[in-house]
Amino acid sequence: MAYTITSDRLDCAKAEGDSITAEELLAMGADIPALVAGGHISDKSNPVPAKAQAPASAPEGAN
Amino acid sequence: MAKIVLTDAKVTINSVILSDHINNITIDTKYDIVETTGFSSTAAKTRVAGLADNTVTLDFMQDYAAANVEATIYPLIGSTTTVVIQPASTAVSTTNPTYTFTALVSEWQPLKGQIGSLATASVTWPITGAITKATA
Repeated sequence: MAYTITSDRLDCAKAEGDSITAEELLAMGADIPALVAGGHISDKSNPVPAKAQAPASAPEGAN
Repeated sequence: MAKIVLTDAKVTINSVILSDHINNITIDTKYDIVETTGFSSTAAKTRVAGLADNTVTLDFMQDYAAANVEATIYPLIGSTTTVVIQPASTAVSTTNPTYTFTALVSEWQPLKGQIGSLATASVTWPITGAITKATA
């Protein structure tokens, strides 16, 4: 399983936005669910639902 | 060997660098003292070291921002996590060793402070197992 690094505080040789695997995280001794909960990584196979994202523009007739 | 002033210590908790939100660190390691004095001892008690009992004490400056102090520590409460502490954030060496251990996040202070003061959190976590010191 792969994750996307979503913070600049993760102590690894990768940057925010890079991909990191579960194997790499476990090798670091990381608690993966806690990192996900803390907003440091996100599950690439489970992106943020569309309804949680801000709309690109106001729908027609909104005003 | 030069004496050092701590200005750039590095603290990593669950692989997350929180050094800039911590201003006090103590790794405390001590051994139980097991007395071995026998009837043949003539003038003084004798002792050997028993089991080690280690703790780490950290003073945090609280921050509720995304991927910061509270967001990092709160999911770890009640579980063990890997902690790495280094006197300086520069390369590991004989004069800048790392101390790696597993701490039990047995306490946390989501909110602590008084009017007009910095919100902080001070914790002492027991260490489970040994502390590993690395110099390279």
